[in-house]
Amino acid sequence: MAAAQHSADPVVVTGLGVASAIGVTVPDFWRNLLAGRAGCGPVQAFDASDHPCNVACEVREELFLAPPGWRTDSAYRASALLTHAAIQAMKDADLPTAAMARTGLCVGSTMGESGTLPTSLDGQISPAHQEAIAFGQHVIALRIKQHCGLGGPLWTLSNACAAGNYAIAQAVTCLRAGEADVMLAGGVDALSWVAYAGFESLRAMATERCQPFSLNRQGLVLGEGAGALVLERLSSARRRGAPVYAEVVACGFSCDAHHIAQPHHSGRGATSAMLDALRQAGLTPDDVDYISAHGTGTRQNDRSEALAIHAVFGARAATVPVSSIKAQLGHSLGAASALEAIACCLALRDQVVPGTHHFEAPDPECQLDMVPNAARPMPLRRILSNAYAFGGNNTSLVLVAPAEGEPGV
Amino acid sequence: MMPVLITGVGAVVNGAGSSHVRGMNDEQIRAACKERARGNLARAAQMVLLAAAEALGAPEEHSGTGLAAGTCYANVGAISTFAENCLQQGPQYASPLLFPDTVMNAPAGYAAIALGLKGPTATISTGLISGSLAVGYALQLIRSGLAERMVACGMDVTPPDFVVARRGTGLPVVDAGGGLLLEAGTPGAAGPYLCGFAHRPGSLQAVGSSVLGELLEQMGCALSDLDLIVLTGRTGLPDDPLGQAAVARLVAARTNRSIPVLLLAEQVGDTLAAAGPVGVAVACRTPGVRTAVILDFDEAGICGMGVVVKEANR
Repeated sequence: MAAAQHSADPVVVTGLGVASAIGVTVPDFWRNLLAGRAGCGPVQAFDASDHPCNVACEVREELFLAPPGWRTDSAYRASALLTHAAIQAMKDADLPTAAMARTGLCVGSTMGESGTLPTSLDGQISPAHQEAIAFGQHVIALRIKQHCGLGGPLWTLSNACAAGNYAIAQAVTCLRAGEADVMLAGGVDALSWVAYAGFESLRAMATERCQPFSLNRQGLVLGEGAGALVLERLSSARRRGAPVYAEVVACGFSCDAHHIAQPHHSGRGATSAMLDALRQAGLTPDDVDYISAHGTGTRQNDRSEALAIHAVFGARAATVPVSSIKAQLGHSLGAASALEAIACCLALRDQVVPGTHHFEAPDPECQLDMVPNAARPMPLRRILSNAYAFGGNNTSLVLVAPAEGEPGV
Repeated sequence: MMPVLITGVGAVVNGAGSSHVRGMNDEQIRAACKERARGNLARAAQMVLLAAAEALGAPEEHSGTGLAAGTCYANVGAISTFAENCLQQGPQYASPLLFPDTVMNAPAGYAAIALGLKGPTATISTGLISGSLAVGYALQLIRSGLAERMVACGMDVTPPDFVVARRGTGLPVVDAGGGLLLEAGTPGAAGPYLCGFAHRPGSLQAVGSSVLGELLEQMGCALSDLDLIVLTGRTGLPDDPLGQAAVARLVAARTNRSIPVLLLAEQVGDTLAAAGPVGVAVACRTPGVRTAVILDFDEAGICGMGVVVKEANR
């Protein structure tokens, strides 16, 4: 993502779409998020009876805007989820049909469609699954391009649990380079037995509920979903008279280069990503009103993220509001940071931040203002949204409220 | 536009290789990786590690360097392996060592750990042009000032037989890795420079000509100035669906001299998503080549990269 400070024509968010365990429309998603509703229940996607855990946050409402055949075929599950979110976002942005020719798509995903594969890859699998393997993770973008008639650049970024932030940042880069007039940025993952068994093998899963930053947290609860954002240059939004949710100002990146599946114990990579984002945005830690945490609910992740927040924010770390919405949505992997960016846009619009639910007791190693168990109205102008991933990848996205005088949503 | 130097290249295949691409057998690959990383790496991680290490050259401090890696099939075999393990052991006893390889960005993660790369790291999985897109991604980060040095890699591993059959190249598919070390240009350096990058949706037949034109404009040269054109994809099919013959005809029609066209897949095998960076490495290593373009393509689109060797101190 190109340097953003004092950008003459900033990139802004003009449309949002979701498919989540707590709602498949943006109003439902936001209402349920603020009300504290969690989307956790017994696993439906596969037989989990022989697994140590058997709960997940799945999208249960079959109201997808994707083609009917995609809704029931597991080889299309992720494509259907993201198509649903993308169509919503384009409607929300009121994009004219003529804009599709210059509209591109950046998809972030951990497993693509391959997570829903049957266990055998011997060629006896369905044609749709064969297609999913042959085109790799990019199959989701190719299907959406065809379904929606997109003519702009296509990218698929596979940075696991931070993939949504990567997709948003790359969409901004495409817009700044003039490669498209409009970019859809989306994160998606369908609940898959591969990821489910995998996180179980790492002993990273909670058996009942996810409790980010809480003293007795057991781990993450896996989820699924999709989040899509319509991005365009401010000049384009003004020309169309499109209301603006937020400006995407910067995205900081770093790599721990430490362990493939665990964050560095000191939080050094997360610290570096937050500082990089603030530097690009021309902001200081004092300028940040709220932090949307990665907050998976695992002992190591939450502790290292808290340490990183302390390293960046110093004495203010204990008072800057921080919350994680994964207690309600589960960890939807590639979708997570896209859904969190959407929640940040809505927080800027309504001047209220979602709480960290299932919070019981503070962890002495995570001394932060966790916005426990209830949404909090507050003045909001600048938000930092963190997302971290396997491979030691760290990202921090900076979202800022529309400038005074711009038409907000 | 800021010139970006190519200060190192690496190219490796699990096969015979060529004069410009290192061919290694399984044992040589394992041994070379053991020198740099603990444990047994999966093949995709081996490929990106060896390509990146060769591009970086002598071991030194690389903590500010980032890594952009492109791949299409890195995790397919790992998913199968993990699934078999789950079926044999039961999900509660599945090996935690196998799961990370099912995630597409694990190979780049292992390479970053082994080489100490702490800058921006990204994994691109946009079909078979992913390696070339990783080069474009790295180029953009350097040009925008967000990174000073980036290793841009493509790597891939042979997918299941039905995928190879579906691709229908008729050429052997090889596990491969290609890597470029890219840095912000230094005034007066001779290069080679990565002076052009273009990415378009569409086939080589439909947009190859315009991508070539865009590259030449960025490189500041004419078609007749080129010393080499590297085409990465499949060839030899009767209907040449990706249009390599069309490019050859275009070049012949617009120039009054013969420009060598190198068909990479015929030289070293089909290197899948590694092809773009491997193609750049080959161009940089070919004696006498001062201006080259590399065209990489698949059903998802076309990527072009332009390499120029400048006179020093001019």
